[in-house]
Amino acid sequence: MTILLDAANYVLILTLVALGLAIVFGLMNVINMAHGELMMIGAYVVVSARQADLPVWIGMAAAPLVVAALGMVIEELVVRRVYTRLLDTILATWGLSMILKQAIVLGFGPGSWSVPNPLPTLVTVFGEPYPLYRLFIMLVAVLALALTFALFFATDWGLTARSVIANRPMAACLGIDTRSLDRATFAYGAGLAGLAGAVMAPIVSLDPQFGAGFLVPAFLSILVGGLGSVAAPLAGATALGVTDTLVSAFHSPVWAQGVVFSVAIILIRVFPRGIAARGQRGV
Amino acid sequence: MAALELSLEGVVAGYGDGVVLQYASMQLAAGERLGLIGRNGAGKTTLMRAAMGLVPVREGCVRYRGHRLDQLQTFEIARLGIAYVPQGRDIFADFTVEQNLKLGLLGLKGSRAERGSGASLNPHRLSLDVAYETFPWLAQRAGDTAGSLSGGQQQQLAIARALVSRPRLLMLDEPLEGIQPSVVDQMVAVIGELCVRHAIGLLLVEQNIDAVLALCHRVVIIEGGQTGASVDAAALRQDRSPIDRALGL
Repeated sequence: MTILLDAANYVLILTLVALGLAIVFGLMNVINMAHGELMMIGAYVVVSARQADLPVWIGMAAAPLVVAALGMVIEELVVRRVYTRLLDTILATWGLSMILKQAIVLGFGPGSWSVPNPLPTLVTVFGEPYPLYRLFIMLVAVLALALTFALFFATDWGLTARSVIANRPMAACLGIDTRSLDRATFAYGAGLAGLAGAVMAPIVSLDPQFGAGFLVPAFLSILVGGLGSVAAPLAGATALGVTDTLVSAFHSPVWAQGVVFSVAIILIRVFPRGIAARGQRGV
Repeated sequence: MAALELSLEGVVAGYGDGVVLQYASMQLAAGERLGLIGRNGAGKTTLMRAAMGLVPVREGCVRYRGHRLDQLQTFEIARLGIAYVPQGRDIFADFTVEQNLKLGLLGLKGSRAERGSGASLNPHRLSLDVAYETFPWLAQRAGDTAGSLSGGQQQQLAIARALVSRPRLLMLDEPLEGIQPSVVDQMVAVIGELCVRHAIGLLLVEQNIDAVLALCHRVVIIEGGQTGASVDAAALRQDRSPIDRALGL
């Protein structure tokens, strides 16, 4: 049973990362290659908090805010200048990811860091011991996802954001402030990545490559789930995350990589519009 | 002639390397209804899109009530009180009818209309009412997805959505395209009526010449990206030969 919890854990974190990517892509058509680094920086915010002798919790609470602020700066300085040119955005954000990685190497060294687990107890779940902290991660991820969905589907702001995703020129013709929406959603997506990195910090060996390991599966999740929808990354991350965790556990992580890619290819082949797409999207 | 509302002066615009509009100029007075007539590819749609900031203006300028539209972003132009209903209407098919209308309202935040409407107690209800008054059937379909509406209904929704933003100037690109012939007259009547009732100016692109002549005060013929002199619609109702020549009929 704990394997399912591990799978859920991975799926939820992957969804947080993929959701930020998907929102930014949906709204601005920007493929943010630096998204993994935003996650990584979220984790290093927790490290910084430890260095300043602050509790881990403070670091975790600060991480999404710090990374969101960083996202706002990135949007202003880089992304908004290239967002109409898809290929350039990939190049620009890829360069940015290298800069961010090197900045962390300069600040924290190339070696790995560990953050003490703030909830080092085991609880009994389904009759088996399970780390309490991993349950906490799931709780945080579920809350963040619920908040995001509420924001996008139950508020006027969310309606305007979804209208820009559906048809940017028309939304602008209605007077919807695409400029401030771009800035806010990029910051929000960055904040989600920062949060994901921060809550993962205590259970990983943290180094500057940490984010890169999540970027590829997050992209695959979006491709499998389908573009242009806020709900799709969850479906994609579920399909791939469950596959990855199960194959890793019952066979080996190396096999898991291969199986995940195969499953992704098959799903994309069978559902070219994504498994979460409902029929033909009207325009 | 009443105060000048919108003017294009020597506008050059196009897509990519191509040029569609070549030094196009035209003027529209406040509350005036102007038709644009020309063949396919003559630049009618590009002219509207250039005014809306959807196509970059490479030369010349677009002025609207003291603002240089060619220097503003699309959403800022919309907030000055220009509502554009593109060809193909571009309603949000996945959203409900009411959400579509509401988006016309949400775009209004911080705009001229909102700031100016100090008298209204509840601008939200007031604004959606405009849509429901003009097209009463919208109220019954408020919860349906817009994609489930017929072509004519979608067109009416798009116009209603534009109305909700309380525009001073409405730009309609082929509003009668794909509409059942039996409803065309009714649509023309509704458009004319709402322009008069709400004191809205109209820039109309339409293949249906009868409709253009019925709705507009003046007509500008556009050929090969260049605008001709404007002609009184009244004169054209008597003698259509200038239009027939321009369209190659």
